[in-house]
Amino acid sequence: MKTPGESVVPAEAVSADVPASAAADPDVALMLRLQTGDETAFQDLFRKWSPRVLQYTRRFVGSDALAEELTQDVFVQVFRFRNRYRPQSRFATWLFTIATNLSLNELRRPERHLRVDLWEKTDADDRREGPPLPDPHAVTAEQGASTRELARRLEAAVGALPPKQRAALLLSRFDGLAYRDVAEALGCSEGAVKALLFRATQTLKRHLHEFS
Amino acid sequence: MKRRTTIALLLLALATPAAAQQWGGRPWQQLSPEEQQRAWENYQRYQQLPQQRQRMIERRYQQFQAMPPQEQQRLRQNYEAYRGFNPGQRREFTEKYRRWKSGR
Amino acid sequence: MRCGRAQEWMAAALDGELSPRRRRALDRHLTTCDVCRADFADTDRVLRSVAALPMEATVPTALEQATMRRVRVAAAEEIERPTRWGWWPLPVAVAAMASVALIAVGLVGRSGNVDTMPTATAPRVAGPVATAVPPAPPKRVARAEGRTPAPVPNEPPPQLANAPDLFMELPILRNMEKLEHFEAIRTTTLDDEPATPGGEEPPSNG
Repeated sequence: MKTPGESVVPAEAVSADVPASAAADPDVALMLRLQTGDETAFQDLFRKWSPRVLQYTRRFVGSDALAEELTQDVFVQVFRFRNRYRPQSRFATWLFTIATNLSLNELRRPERHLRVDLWEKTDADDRREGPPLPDPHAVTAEQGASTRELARRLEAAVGALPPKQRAALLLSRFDGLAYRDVAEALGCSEGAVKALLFRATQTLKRHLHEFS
Repeated sequence: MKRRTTIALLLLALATPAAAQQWGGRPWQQLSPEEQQRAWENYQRYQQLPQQRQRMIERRYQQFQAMPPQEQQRLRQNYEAYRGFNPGQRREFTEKYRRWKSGR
Repeated sequence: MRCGRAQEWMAAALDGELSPRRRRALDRHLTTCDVCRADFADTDRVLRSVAALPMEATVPTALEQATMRRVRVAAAEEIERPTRWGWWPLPVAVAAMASVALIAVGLVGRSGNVDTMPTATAPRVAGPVATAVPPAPPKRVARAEGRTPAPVPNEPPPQLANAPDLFMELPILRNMEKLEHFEAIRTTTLDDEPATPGGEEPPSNG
């Protein structure tokens, strides 16, 4: 179910202190460049990872606008904490630790409100207030009606899972994130990740059975 | 003599970098130059605190170390958020903290 | 093997996260238990269905632009006050030197030598942000002259060497209660004004 990692980073881009396993992660090279002051490295990381972070946070908070705010927050934290990143961890693990923390923080707030970007001219055409989950764009046009319905129900079921089960399930579906990476992102043990996934899959199976 | 040697060896073990394991966290050599500078400056501030406050901070550090990484990160992020406040927001936060504390 | 244990292991088995010994035990159980075999197929279907959900969203242009703006502001703030530990500012010589370095060179990089003065690490930001950083005001520079931060000793004191992270995290430890309950404090209202003297109602907002 999981695909192999990506191509090896050029040797000259990796410092001697970086473990061999981290050298296989091209994002490590980008982070090391960011740590030395390269803004383009940050842009590259943003363009590569923001689509996933946006989708991930959207599934947490159930609102496009709030997910966009959180995605901004995640990458601002990546920048602010750039010198805390250690290549011993995969970048994706570190990134989604931040995303999970911010998303869980958001869920804990007694009220949620949009933060106004004081430096941004509001452009109504460019900011869309999307529909709440499930996302109608999540399913391609080619899929049959029953498949679309399945996907819609699955999205709703995933969205109804307790936050940590949801996080464990979504993170473990990302290519290249092993259970130990998920455990690190969630701040728990691998055994706890297995337990979260067991409970999550049991719940989803019940939903699918009801549907079929 | 053997007992003295054993005790000496134990004391030596406590004084070595393995003592850092008692506190958790990284050894000094693993900090970057910037981090070492920051830790050194904070150490000097810490030295100026009354002993009671120093003990309190040590206790809090042990609590902090016992927290899951996610919770530690949350506190760091909250601190960074506070750092982003302008002076007016900081005054407001301080006032709200007093109000919140009095209501507990 | 009990069916309950087999069910607990199914997701991990499908993700390749089960040890070889446990995987063999599970496979043996599945050959003999129809219910668990069906359950295993269901688990497989669920996990594949979730994996097939779109994992990426379309990022609006405005989101990238807003993020880059915030990062550039954060970078500029780092240069203006490169480090603030606790609730008090560091010696401003660092801020002054960093600001001057940024304006003069256009790039502030990290020094690898522990004996040199630390400089702010900031990305090569676009021109408008660099020129927007104000020069350090003269009074700050004058005040800073007698207060350069002491260099890190080659042999740090044992307490520092044994627990450097304690001192790294000092600002957080000093303010732990505030940070633990940050959101609750932020959302505390200050609106409950006492009644005016004489028992009159305060003016209504609505």
